[in-house]
Amino acid sequence: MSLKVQGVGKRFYDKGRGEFYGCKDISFAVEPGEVFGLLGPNGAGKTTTLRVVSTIYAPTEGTAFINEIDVSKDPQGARRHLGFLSSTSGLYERLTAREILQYFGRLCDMKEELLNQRIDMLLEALDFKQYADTRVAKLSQGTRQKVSIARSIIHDPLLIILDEPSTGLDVLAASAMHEFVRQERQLGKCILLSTHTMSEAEKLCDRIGVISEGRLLAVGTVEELKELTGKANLEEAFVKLVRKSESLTNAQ
Amino acid sequence: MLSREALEKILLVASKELVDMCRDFKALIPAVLLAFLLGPLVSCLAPQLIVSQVKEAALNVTSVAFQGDGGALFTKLSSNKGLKVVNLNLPPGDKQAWLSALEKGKVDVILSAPPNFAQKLSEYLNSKSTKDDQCPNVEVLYTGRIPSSSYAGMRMLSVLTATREELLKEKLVLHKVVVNAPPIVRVKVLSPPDDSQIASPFIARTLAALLVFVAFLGAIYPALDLLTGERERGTLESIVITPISRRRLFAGKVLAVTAISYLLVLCTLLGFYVAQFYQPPLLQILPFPLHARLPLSCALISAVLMLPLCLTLAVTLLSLAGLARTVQQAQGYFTALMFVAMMPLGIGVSGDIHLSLPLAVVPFLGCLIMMNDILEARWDAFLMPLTCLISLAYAWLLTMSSAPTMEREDLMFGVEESPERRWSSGRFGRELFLLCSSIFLLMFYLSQSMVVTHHVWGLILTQVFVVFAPGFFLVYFWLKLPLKSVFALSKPRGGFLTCLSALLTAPLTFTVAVLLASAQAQFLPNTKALEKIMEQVLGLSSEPLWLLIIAIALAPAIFEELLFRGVIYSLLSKRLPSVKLIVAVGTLFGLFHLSVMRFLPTASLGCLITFMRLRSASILPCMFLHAGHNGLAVLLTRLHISEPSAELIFAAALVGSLGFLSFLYLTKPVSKG
Repeated sequence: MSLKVQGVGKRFYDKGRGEFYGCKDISFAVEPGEVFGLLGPNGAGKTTTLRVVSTIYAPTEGTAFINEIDVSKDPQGARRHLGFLSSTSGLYERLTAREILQYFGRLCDMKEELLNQRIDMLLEALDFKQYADTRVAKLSQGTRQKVSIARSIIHDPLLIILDEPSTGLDVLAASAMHEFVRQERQLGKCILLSTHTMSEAEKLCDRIGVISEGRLLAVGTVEELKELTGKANLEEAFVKLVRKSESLTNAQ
Repeated sequence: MLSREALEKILLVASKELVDMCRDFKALIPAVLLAFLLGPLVSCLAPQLIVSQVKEAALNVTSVAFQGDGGALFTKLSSNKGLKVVNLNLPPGDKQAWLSALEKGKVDVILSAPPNFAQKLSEYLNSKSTKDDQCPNVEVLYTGRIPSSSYAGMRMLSVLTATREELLKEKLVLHKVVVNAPPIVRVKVLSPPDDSQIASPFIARTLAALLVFVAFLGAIYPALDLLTGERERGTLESIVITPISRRRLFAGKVLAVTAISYLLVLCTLLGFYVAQFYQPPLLQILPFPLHARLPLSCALISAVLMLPLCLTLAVTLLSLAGLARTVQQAQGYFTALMFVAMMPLGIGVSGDIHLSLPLAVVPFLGCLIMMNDILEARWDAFLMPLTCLISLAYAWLLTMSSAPTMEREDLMFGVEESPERRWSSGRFGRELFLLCSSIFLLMFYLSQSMVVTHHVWGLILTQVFVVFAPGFFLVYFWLKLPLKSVFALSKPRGGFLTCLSALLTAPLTFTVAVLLASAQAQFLPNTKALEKIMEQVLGLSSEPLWLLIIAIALAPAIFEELLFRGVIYSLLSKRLPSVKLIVAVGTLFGLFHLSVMRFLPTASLGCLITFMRLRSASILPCMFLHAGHNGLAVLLTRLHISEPSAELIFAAALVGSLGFLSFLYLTKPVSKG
């Protein structure tokens, strides 16, 4: 399973601003067993890019291929292979965590036996087994986030897309989540995540794409980015790339 | 047919939604309680309230004052036990003082005898005449503002009628007049209907309307919660990226909303069924029967027939909810729909309309009238299954067309496309639906009343405000589309000679329309009677010709063309291939004329004009043909040529064919290279 994003652009319209790009000319590829991080400030276009890849937005330009399946031509086919954790999606408050996982598993055509095994595995891996039969309305923010993660990967997809997965998690929960991502990478999964936390990007990602104002500024490993910018750490490299992009935009 | 896998998915979604909704006790319990209590409230409490009111009014003694000399009549009335005569001690001639006493409530009613009343009454009673007009009259004065006075007035009238009959009887006895009564006809009913097997009139008139009301209430909250609510909470976003098909997902939601709505309907029916056994005895004095009889067979058939109605409501509400971004917005849509849905409830209460073919094919209305008929023990073995099938077909069609709205980016995330981009992509399904439904509703309600009130001027007003204004508002103010491209008022392909050739085609289209109308008269009612009514309403024979030409030929040619070959054509042209586009615009044009009899001729003309728009890349030839076609109709009516001769038809067809051929020649595509 691999992901190829080719020249993806998404235009929006606002009465005040007119037509503008949410993301423009985004191209990158993620190989099996690789964690690719989109690192950018708020409003940089990370979520827009992830939504295009996960078939929620139809791209205005370009397209993405999930294992040779064109997301704009066959979104239904692409959906079978991807799991998407969105930062804006909610959970059914009146259902229990287990019921939600069962529902989504069945929607993804999972067999009952396999589904139950998968649910047990995810409850263990993400450490919320004790809350499996509690209604979501009574869960803490962190546990809800764990349920959301489990829900998005219940069907064991080969491409996992995580939009700011550690939002709302405490240190322990975030650590469990990081560990889970590493395990999935070892299983050969293709993982695309977005974050604005440098440490998370540094810890988890094999390669990072720095994104700002809807454009992909640079792609590479942490070392490559440091080398490219001549900075000592990722944070400084990131700030330099973003500032440079902003000054270029202002000059235009 | 549904595959097993599809059915499993639909049931999976429906069962999850039902579990989710049933756990919302705070919303569900009051709804179920209301549904259960509706029967006892209507069957037991409401009649009791009415009985107590009637009882109180019946037991009250009416206070009456006699003004003037009423002679034998007033003497007789004084002995009536239901009346209490009050002496107001006012001069008989001071009418103002008497009225003031009535206004102040000193008496409930005043009987005012005109001067010489006593003498005239005495003369009448002593004469042998039995003519009604020779009997003098008294005036009954009461004030409608005071309920007791109002009731007393009505009561007084019945007392007067009874007293008058009594006096007449006495007169007949006095003069020894023998009245030969008409012979009594003995009527023997063979196999009399068993009343116990049908619902009582009170239930028959109210139950269907109440069940529809409950079904509507039962479907509103789930529809809001399961679609717009999910969109607002962000749960829909996670569902749409699963591989389940949108249609199955939507169908599952429809099933869940139908189930909840139907559950409330069953609770209501159960409440009505049980309540009839506990209805207190009703007084005989009630002016209308309030018996709450609902036989088990009626209740069971009603339960079965409410299912298609609940399905129709559920799918309609979910489709509307699917078009709203927020719950608040959906509530606004539902309020508007509620007004439309409540209108047919009057039919339920009036009970005078019964199922017929045109009504059976209207999804919501057909089910409602069918329910009414069943409660009145009317059964049509063809129309009733047809209505159920129509409901299923409607639900299926709406599911197919509404399912994709669930994943619309603008509704899910509030993102918009620029007008230019929308124009080039041509995605205007929702706007087109809104435009067509508003124009059809305006045509139905506003246009007809304008024509009846303002005759020919009403037609012109209709063209401007009903036909042109909504479309112009939509493209100019809402969608901000380029008017030049939408209305295509540019020079046509082939130059202005094309317009002339289009105008010359009019005799052909008119001939075809006449032939089609006479051909379909074999199957459908003749349009002659309708045409006569229209002639009278519009005053075709009395209005000046120039006004008729403007109202019937020029105004429709301009405004209808701007709407159909301008706005509607443009909104559809980017999404439909040529043939489908021609058929779609032509069909809408035919439907717009709101007449089954005129559909075929107008739709055919609509198709031809759309073809001209497509071929000439301009709306001008369409306007010329439309004006020519309608103008010919006006001229023939004015010349009183109702059935043209064969020679005239032949000549018209010849000229029209030449015109059409020259149009085809002038607009022939230019070959490249």
